[in-house]
Amino acid sequence: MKIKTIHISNYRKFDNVKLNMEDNITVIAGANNSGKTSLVELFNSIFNNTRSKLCCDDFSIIECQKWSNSIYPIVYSAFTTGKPKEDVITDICKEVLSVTKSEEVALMPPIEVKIQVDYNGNEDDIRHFADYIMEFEPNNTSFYFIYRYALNVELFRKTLDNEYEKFLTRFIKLTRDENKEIDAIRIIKEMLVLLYANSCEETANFSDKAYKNIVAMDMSSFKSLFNYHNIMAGRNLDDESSDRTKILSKNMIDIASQEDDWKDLIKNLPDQIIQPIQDAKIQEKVRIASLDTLSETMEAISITNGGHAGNIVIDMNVTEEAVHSLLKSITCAKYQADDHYLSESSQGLGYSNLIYIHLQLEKFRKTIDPLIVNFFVIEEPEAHMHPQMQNVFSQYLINYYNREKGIQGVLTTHSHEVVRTASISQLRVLRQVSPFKCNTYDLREFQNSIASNKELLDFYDWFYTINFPDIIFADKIIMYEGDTERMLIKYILRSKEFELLRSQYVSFVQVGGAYAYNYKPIIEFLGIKSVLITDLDYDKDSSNIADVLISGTTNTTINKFSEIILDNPAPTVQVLYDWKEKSPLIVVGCICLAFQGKRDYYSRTLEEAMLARHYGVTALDVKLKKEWIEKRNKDKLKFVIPREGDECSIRTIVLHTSNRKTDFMYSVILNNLVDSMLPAYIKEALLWLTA
Amino acid sequence: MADSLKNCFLVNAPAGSGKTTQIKAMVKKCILENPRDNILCITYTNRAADELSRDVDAKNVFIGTIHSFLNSFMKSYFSHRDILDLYYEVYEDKIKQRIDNSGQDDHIMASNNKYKDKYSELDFETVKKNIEKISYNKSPFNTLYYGGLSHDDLISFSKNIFDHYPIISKRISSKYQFIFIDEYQDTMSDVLKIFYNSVAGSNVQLYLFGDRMQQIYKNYDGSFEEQFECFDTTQALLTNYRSVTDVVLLLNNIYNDSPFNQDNSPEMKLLSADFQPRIVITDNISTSIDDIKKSDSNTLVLYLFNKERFSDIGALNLYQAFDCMEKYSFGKTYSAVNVLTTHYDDNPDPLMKLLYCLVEMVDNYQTQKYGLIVQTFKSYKSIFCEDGWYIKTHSDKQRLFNILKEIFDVFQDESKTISELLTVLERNSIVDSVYMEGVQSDDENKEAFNVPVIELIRVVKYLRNPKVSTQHGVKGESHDSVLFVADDSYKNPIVHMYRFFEMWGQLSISLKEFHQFYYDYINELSDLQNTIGMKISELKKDSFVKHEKVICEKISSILDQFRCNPYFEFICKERYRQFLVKPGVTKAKDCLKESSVFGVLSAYKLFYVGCSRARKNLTILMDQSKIKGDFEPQKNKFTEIGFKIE
Repeated sequence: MKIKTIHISNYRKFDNVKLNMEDNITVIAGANNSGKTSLVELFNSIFNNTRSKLCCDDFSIIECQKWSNSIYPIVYSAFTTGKPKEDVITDICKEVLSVTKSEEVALMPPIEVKIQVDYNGNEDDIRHFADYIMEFEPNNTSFYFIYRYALNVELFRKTLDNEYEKFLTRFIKLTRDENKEIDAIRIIKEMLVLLYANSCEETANFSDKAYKNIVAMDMSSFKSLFNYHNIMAGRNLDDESSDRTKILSKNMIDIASQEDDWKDLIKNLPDQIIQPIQDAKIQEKVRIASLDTLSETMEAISITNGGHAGNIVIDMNVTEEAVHSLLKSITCAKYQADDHYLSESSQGLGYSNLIYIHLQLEKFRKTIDPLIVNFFVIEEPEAHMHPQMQNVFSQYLINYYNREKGIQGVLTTHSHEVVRTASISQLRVLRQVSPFKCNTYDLREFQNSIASNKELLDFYDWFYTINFPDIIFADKIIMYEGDTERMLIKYILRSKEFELLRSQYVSFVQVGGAYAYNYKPIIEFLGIKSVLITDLDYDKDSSNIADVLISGTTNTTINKFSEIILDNPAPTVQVLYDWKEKSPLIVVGCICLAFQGKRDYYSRTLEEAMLARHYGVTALDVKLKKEWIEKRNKDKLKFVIPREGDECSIRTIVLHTSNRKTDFMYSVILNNLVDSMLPAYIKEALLWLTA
Repeated sequence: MADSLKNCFLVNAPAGSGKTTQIKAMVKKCILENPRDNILCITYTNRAADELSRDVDAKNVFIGTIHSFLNSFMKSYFSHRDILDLYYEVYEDKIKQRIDNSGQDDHIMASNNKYKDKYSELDFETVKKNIEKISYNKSPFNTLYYGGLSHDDLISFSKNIFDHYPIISKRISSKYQFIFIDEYQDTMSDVLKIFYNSVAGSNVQLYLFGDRMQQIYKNYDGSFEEQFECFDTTQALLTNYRSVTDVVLLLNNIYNDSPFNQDNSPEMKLLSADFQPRIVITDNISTSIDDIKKSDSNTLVLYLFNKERFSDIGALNLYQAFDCMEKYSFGKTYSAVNVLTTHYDDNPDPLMKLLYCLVEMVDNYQTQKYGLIVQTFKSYKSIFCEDGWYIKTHSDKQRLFNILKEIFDVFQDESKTISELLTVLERNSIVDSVYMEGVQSDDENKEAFNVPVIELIRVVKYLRNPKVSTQHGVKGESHDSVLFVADDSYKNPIVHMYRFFEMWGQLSISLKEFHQFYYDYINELSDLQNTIGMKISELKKDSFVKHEKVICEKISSILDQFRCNPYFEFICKERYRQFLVKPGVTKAKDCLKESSVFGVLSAYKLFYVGCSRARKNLTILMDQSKIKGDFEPQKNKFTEIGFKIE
């Protein structure tokens, strides 16, 4: 039995999110604050019997606000009519339930989780699920459940009844004290939301595959269909650091005690242990050492009481539980390094963490019930590990789940290494798309969408291990051609205009114009705002403007974009210039394509554009070498002026500087010339990215 | 009046007074306020227990029928030596009689032989030796040789135990701090006494809920009247949530007992009827019914006779098949109507239990809530067989689908009979084979097998939303418009409606006085029967001669005792006078007939309950030819209490 999909609505930032689950392991990757923890907390509420239920913080903030705004005036007027308590409550309840009012929100949409559980038609035993059959189609091998957290009207009435006085006092105060009105209203609204949430209850249902034909079921029956466990690798060790040394050892004993022959093994231990204790006359020792003196005191007290308090005697008994805890306290996991044994605590947190996770998994494995869904969630296993260890360990975990057919797992992570170890189809990316909204991106779907394109598949296969994690965790992406661009951009981003961008996770991806286009599918799939800074790269032999204008570009990416937007797969420079004149920013989907335009002095690379702008000449204009040397010395710029000939153009200079581009960029930055040299196409693109 | 007890409450809850809601609220309040106390709640049916349990979920509350309570409470004593001895003491004669089988009953003979086969001997001592514990056998009959107690005997024998061992009785009052009993008027006096004796003198609060007017069974025999007098009756439910003002006023007038006067709820006060409650007198009952139904198609017609009712439902064949069964004939625990109108949870008839259970599933099948069907199979393990429905694999699932299709296709076809349905069930081994065998081998069921399944669907549909009913149909049903067809019946059920109307024209009737008279009167009659050692109805000429003196003395003492009782004067006196004029067996039997009083009393209750079922519009249909005596005073009476005569 495996969970196929989990479709979440109206939960915190998950307005409407569908999570497709892999049979073995699903890796949920997301940056901080992308909703990973929320997701796991939801799983805890739904599948776990012991964890806390949902509460008021779990409703969408936007919905809470909408509701409290719409209900506030109603509640206000009900409370200020001066009617008796019962009538006020009845009036409010009536209003809350009058869903007929067109636009006003009388009820918050319930938190709803639709769960599809699939079984293997050839192997799986579905006896525990038979009670929830709703589809008899021969090809259907699924069961459908709906978990809901919604308002119970009766409860609402009762809670309101209980808290009536509290509300009444607030409202009375509010009508008298007009100065603090705004704050008081806010507090009452918060109270209302709390009242609403406290009046909600969870319900479980099963349904047909359209989730339309719905039948209620017991919450406990629902939960009994899932064997769920989760570990928060990061927190557990932090919280219990004082006793961290024992965690591993204790777990080992716990696991062993679940083996069938454990009982037999320790059966005789109690008797065997008590014997030497008795032989050693320990009991007597204890008695003499403490009791005898105690007895005197007791006797004295007893006399003053005028009664008899009874004697304290010692009885020693070794039970199986006692043996169990003895074993726990004497078992020490140690690390062997060459000939030395190191205690648990001698190793770093990461190492302990790793073993801890492994032990928990083993413990869980013993509880696998093939008749229900066995679902194990590990939150951020990378905690406390250095990257190499993350890599090896996540590899181990993924293999574990792949091998252990009975367990369905989820790993949540914000580690690049963990993402690299997973395969693309196992990844689900969580991204915050607006302050109150999260989305998931199913990379199996992405992979399927490019399945027909062999070239692209190969590309992603390779690229996956290199740049991929950078992209999926990024808020924004800047794609650039070479190191000099990167240096320049990093420098520019320090200025005030780009402050906002600096607070976000901007990923820098180095890619040439020949391949940049391949990134388009994944960037668009994830909807990440990106800038692609590339070069016009027209035919470098064009020696005059006329030639330049009729020449094409060798930049595949520019050609592809032109094909999409202009329907012209081989545009001339003239065409490209016109395009840029018409729309200074070329934006396709969420990608802004930046390259040199007409205003960049007919330059075809970044360096050309910078020099041309600085000196106010085109890249093709020829000047005396002497002049160039003068300028270079004056600006302390580092570029190479060719030895041959008396005169040269910026083009020739840049050509000769190609081995020393980095020095050139250093000199620009160190001499504070960035402002006067920065080409417009870069600045505009970065401003667009910031906005 | 005796001093009222501080801890015993009698909550009078007339029709429409929200009794169930009230009990639920009280139980919930108890749980909240006294979380450490134990609460016992005795309901009349399993369904009522389920209904109550649905909203009440606490470990310290026991909700169930008296049988489920006694069974679980007494179980631990049932293997106790002293209790076994008590059992032998109580049942010795009956066991011996059965062993002797002097009547040469084939059935008993077979069962005796079976016992001999098993234990090689059959005598009282062997039976005694072999019984290790007694138990509740959940059937209408004792299984004497095995210590099996029937429905009735579980109660009577428990009562016996409580009487002999007050310590066990004490255990009830020490375990439960609150005891609620629903439908007290239909609760056997043994049960009432068990709890009453147990809580007497303790702090345990005992609440009885119900309404005398709604007494529909003869379970209660009148032997608890004295104790009732001591109950605190101040908590009567005096709001009627069901009917409009006109109807409530009318009901108060019929009840004629001011402490029980109801007021209707504010919601109902806002509504008004289409017409004032009316009496329609006709010389053609059936045309008048049709006319009224035509003018308001949503009218619930209350018949006195079931035959008319079931024919109206479209299930006459089903009714007739069950009505002619010996096991549901007059005097038996259940009647055909009980069997046909009882939800499958409580249905005492194995065939109907199975069939109704399936009919309930038809809806789930049609709305494709298949999971619920599987759940029903699962929860009725004694009826359904795992081989048929149990699902482990995907192919099991497909197989079950085919079976369900086959079964529920039968219900789609109007020509299919119950017998054909049973064949399908049997072929798919969906029903437990022993259960099926029991249903099919019962010769009395044969007639029912030929009934079309469509009649089952009609009855179940009707039970969910009744358009016709009999006057003593299921309690609690109500309807916007009710048409009460006044009728007489001299056999089961015994109802003398027109005689009641006649009496009503002359007397002011109240339930309390009438009941008092009835219990006092039958007390005298049973006293006489005990003296002469036979039933009055069995008197023959020679036996009359033999007991003439005693009978004549009794008759004059009754005459003397009830000299000024208006009920006696009206109903009985003339016959007594006739007897005195010329004593003889026929006249004696005639004047000592219990039914002449019972018929009028039950007419009174039926009339009240019938009227109470109208939410808004109430019509009483009277047959011109059946009206007794002078109609003028009756007419005045009807007008006086709020009817309009048409």
